[in-house]
Amino acid sequence: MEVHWLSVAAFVAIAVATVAVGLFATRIIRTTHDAYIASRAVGPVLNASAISGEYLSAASFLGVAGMVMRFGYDVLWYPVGYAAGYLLLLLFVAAPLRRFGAYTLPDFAEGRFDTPAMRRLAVLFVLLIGVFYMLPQMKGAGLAVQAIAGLPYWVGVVVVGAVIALNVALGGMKGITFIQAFQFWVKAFAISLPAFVLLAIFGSYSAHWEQAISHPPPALEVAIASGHAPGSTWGFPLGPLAEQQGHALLFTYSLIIATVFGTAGLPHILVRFYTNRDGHAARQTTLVVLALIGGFYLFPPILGLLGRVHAPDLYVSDRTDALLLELPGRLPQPWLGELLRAVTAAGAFAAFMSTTSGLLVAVAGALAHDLYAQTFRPGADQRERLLAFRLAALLAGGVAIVGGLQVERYHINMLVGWAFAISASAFFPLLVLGIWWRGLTAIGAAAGTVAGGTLASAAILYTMATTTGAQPATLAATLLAQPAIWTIPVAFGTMVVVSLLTRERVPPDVNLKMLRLHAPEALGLRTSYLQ
Amino acid sequence: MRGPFWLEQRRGDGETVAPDIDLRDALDALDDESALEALEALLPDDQSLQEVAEQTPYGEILLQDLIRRQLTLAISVAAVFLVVLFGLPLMNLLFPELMRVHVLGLPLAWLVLAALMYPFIWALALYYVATSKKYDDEFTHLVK
Repeated sequence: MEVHWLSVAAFVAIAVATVAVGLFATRIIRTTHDAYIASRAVGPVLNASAISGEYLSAASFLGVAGMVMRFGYDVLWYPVGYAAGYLLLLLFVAAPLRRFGAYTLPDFAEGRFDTPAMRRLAVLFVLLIGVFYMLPQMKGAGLAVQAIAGLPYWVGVVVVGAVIALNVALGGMKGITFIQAFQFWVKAFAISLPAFVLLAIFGSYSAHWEQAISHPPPALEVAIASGHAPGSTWGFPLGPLAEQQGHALLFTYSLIIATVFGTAGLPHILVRFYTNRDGHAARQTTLVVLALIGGFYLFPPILGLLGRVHAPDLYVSDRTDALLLELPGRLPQPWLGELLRAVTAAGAFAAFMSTTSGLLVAVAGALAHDLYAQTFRPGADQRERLLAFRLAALLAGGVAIVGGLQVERYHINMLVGWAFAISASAFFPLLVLGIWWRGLTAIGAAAGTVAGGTLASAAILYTMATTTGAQPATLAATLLAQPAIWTIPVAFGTMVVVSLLTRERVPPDVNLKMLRLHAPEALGLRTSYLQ
Repeated sequence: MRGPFWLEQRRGDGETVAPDIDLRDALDALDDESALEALEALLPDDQSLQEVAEQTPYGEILLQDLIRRQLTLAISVAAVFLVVLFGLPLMNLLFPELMRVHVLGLPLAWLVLAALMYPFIWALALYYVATSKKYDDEFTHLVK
């Protein structure tokens, strides 16, 4: 395989620029009186860029376009779900969580019920979701290095995983708000520019649609005839992706539910809401996030469509996940192709770097702060905690690398979809009922979180262990492969029923908790009455 | 209340800074007009605020009312969205011909899911943010 040196250089440049932005931001912060004030002075636009930067992972950047090319219309539910998740986050979680003053999900879990055990339970699922979410990032890294440097899959996983873990462990993620915001704009540029250039050279969106469905070019026709590429069902609902499932409509609904309800429970995203000034700013930030990622998601379907028409050989080699890195090479002008490939390579690197770093910080933070410093060694001093954080970051990075080597056969978005299913089943019910229902007891919350989280995890692990990319067809198999549709109701139901059974255990100060969650900051209540 | 140390790490600039609730509110009071007003409003003569804070029946009712209004708003917006979201696969299933009609050069089903959903979601979010702010402000006004 040939080596695309310009793209390799772009890869390295993004890594260097990331460190540079971090250093630069740290210097700006240092000139102000207090780092904390600096981060609070961050307005909704910068904050929203940072959230979007952390959120748009390899799944969104590489995965959606590749999977649209592979399976067509049904895949469009993924980006819609990823974006719509922020609407539910906005409606039910954003402002109250900010007002409550919880930094992390485990903080909320403990603070809402004054029960340290709830913190530990939440930590378990933070770790599980974090690790699950890192796997597809590692797959993206392996694929990207494979596509631009011609190296084996494992090289990319090991090298990129190690670089990111070391960067986080050695404290290279200082000024993280600026880094994540910077990486969002890298990604936005890197996905929109190639789409515009390719459309300008190859022809319009609708012309490509005609080619993809009604008048396939010869290479695509061959791929369809040989059974590698799907036929015209590609462009329509309940096509190749859902069809394989046997219960196509059920699969579609469960997929939508997992992605929409999963976003609100993602631990590395919720952390970001604390940097908002107040509850209303948290809402404004979410509004900007919706605009940013909504704009971003207009492009992957275009690129997937272009890939079907211009790069059908990827169907045959089963490398559609690498579409974004391959497509520029199909341009008639080789120099332009190399240039655009470097741009998408930079975007891909920014994608798995920002998300993996955010996840590593969340996972290592949960291990070092919630488990080590709060549970095992409450007396640990600052130095010991920092050491624990670094070791935890390296450990989590190691787990991500080892896991990443195992998942080459799964589509990036399927892996991410599973992380969302666990998050939706374990944390979404806990947040919604914890924020809005006085009657929730600690026991009810714990029972529901455990029920939803473990059932979803077990179903997914079972599916991963028993299928080899070939899709299940029975009703039970569909429900196991995409469990959110039943695990979320189970979690909600368990929480409500167990809470009603333990009604006498409702925290006596529940009204105070509600006041903290919902009273506008303008009242200034917290100063005098609440701690 | 001290925040988790790893957030200090994330925000740190060499010297770690503990996110501290008291500090934050103290700072609020210094640089934020409304917070200053709120602090002033905490003087004992301000009856209704005291009531909210001390959980007297009247304050309790006010807060209950705010939570109910906010929840009703959130559920209404979510309902509109979920009806459209979950209705779309059914539309595709029940009216395939309609969803295949080309609009702007693309089939309706594709156009809706690959493009129009995003401005729709954003419009709902915009409506929610404006309305929830109004409710918060009305509550604050009432209590003060």
